[in-house]
Amino acid sequence: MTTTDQALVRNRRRNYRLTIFWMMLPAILGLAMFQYGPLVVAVRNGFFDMTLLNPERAKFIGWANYIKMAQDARFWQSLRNTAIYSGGKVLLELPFALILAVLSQQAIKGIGIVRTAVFAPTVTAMSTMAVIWNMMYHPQNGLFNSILTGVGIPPQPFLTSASQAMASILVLSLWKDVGSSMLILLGGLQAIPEEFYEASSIDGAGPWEQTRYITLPLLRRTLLYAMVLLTVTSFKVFTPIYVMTKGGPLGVTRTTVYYVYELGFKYLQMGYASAVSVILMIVMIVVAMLQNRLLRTEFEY
Amino acid sequence: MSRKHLVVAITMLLVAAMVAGCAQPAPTATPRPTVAPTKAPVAQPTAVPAEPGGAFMAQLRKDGYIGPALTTENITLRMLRTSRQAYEEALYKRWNEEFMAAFPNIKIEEEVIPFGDLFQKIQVIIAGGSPPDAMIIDGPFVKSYCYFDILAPLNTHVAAEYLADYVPATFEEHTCGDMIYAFPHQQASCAIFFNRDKFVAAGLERPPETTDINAGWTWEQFMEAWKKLTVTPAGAAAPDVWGLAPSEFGAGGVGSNYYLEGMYIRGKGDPKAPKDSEEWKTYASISEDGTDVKGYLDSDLAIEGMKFYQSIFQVEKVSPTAGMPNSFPDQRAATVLGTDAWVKRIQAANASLNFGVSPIPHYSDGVPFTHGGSTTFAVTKGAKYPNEAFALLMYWHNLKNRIEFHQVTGSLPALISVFAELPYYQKLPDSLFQATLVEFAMPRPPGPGYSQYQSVSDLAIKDIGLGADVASTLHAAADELNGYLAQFKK
Repeated sequence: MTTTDQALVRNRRRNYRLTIFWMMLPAILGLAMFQYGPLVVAVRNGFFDMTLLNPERAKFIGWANYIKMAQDARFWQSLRNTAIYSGGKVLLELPFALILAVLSQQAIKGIGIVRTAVFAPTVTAMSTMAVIWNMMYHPQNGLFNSILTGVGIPPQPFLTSASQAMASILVLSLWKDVGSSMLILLGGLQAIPEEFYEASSIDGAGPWEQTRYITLPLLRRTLLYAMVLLTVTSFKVFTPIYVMTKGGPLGVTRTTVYYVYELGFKYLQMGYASAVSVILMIVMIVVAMLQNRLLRTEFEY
Repeated sequence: MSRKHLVVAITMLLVAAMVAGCAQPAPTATPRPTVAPTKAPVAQPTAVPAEPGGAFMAQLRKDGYIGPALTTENITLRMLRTSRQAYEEALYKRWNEEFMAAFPNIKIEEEVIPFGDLFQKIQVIIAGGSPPDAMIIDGPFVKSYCYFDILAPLNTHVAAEYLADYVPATFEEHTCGDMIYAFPHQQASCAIFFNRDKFVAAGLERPPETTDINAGWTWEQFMEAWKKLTVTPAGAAAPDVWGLAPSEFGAGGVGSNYYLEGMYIRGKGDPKAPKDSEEWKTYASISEDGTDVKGYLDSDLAIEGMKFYQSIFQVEKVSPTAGMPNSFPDQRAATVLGTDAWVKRIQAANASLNFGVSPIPHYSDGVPFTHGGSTTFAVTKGAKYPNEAFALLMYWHNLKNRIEFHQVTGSLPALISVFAELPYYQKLPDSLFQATLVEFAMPRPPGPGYSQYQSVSDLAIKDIGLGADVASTLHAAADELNGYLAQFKK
């Protein structure tokens, strides 16, 4: 290769990288302004005693918000509630979504309709769903209690009972979001080469062995992605709490994000709300890292 | 560009964008408009021919506007308000058109949002540093906005005679120090609506329909009636007809809104008792400086009041724990606690319903109590065009437009002189709401921390309604609330 050729190659590479750079720039700017910018502001506000109604009066208080948080029973309760909700969501939704994904992969007549029906709630607004489910959960006039009393079971207080409220919200979220997880896992399932199953069949593997030794190991990356996504979105749950329970009864449905909203907009403690947001973000990062570590895969195909 | 350079460039851009992102919400000095002198207003000459707006402006001055002449420059006046019924929207539209016709250089731009989003929206636009010139606010929040210094006082632009016309509860609610900060748009007071036919069917004497609030039934009398009015068909798991309809205020159901449930507490107190007594503190609901609720929200009397409230849902079970919209007009409930505006609302939902209105119940050992207060309009301190904003709000709230507004909406006026112009306030049930407002209505707990007060007490009352221990819940709420109110201590 002559010197001119080498210069040409270098030029092309540089142009290629510049093109990439300019194409990425709008997205980078958008991320910086609307994601990382507010993040930096939140971190900063966490060190201030401030309210949105008069930011001019903001007072630097160092780590006071974080010290206060350590002694704040409501914060710990909200973190516990978030963990219960997120844990329940991941543990229930992923297996259910996997079953649905496996079923919807089968060549069964009408499976397209079932797939659409499962996915439809995902594209519906959570606020709308929450209002409708609120009515269905009504302790005296709701659909669910009509069904229960119809079969001789006494009406349940669902959203007004401290022992049932979180579970009731979890059921709604599960119903609404399972289609989304199903779709991700379906994509993962369809990416597994058919030859692996054919070869294992020749070797005498049954459906259980195929699931145990082919499907699950090769689906691990997809499962990890679905799990991290589900965990992160579950940690951020807000709408059904806001619409259906406002964090009650007895604070059992007050998740951390809802608590942040209460602190910032109802109790006018935006500085403290920001500090709680920062801690929540750190918790989410740690959980996601743990999940990455635990579900790391050595398979490549 | 090498990879290293690419990474460096991206990092620099990120940092630059972050700095740009940080810059806006950081506390910076917002330029404030020059405020006119704040001494007591003096009535102006009735007409200033040279003023822009001509005869319209002259009338505006007669109505009570005492501010400077309006600008002749082309401006856009920004207003934030909540969405209303179509008949109210039509009025607002017409008033704005009339104002713009008189001042062709002024364009009015409205941002209309749902009422539920109002408090958050105001926080966000104030923090954003670009407040509208005028905005609607919820009456109990006036003192909070004053504390945070985001409203401009009316006294510099509105005649003292106009301000003296406010009904007492409104005057108190809209005052901070010796200044008044908002144009009251409407008022509200509570009474109990009852289905006459259901009382007859249950063989019950009907509660009195009178303007003598002290002659109304007690809560205890109503409880006895509710028990008989609650009808559960044989074999049914839940009543078919409830004695008392669930609240339709706020979120509905138990703990819906302090406006309603707060009276179960404050009605246990006594405004005439010595100020250091439990009776006075229970009635007052908060210390005079608005920073202490211990012994007020959780006094023994307050606990008694909340025990009565809890018994409605948990012991006697005469009202459902969750909301049931329209249960009264739909005849699924025999009584409902509602405001003046409900007369029209019930008639619209069921024109043939045979209902009466009786004074707000009181405890046998308490006093009749209802909260007043409703929406109100104010000019923001950061308004770009405060004079024009005051003038517009003055036009919206002059006597002529007030009379028309209340005739159309059926809501309770906040100006004493308007009552005299509306003949239907001479007879029941409207006269009852007027008497309740003028004689008994109290603002919600005064002070800059009303948002915190309402949020904490709503949750506590909801938990109590759902069965939580009354005393410990109220004590915990008072402790928590005092923590939030500490920031307002001088």
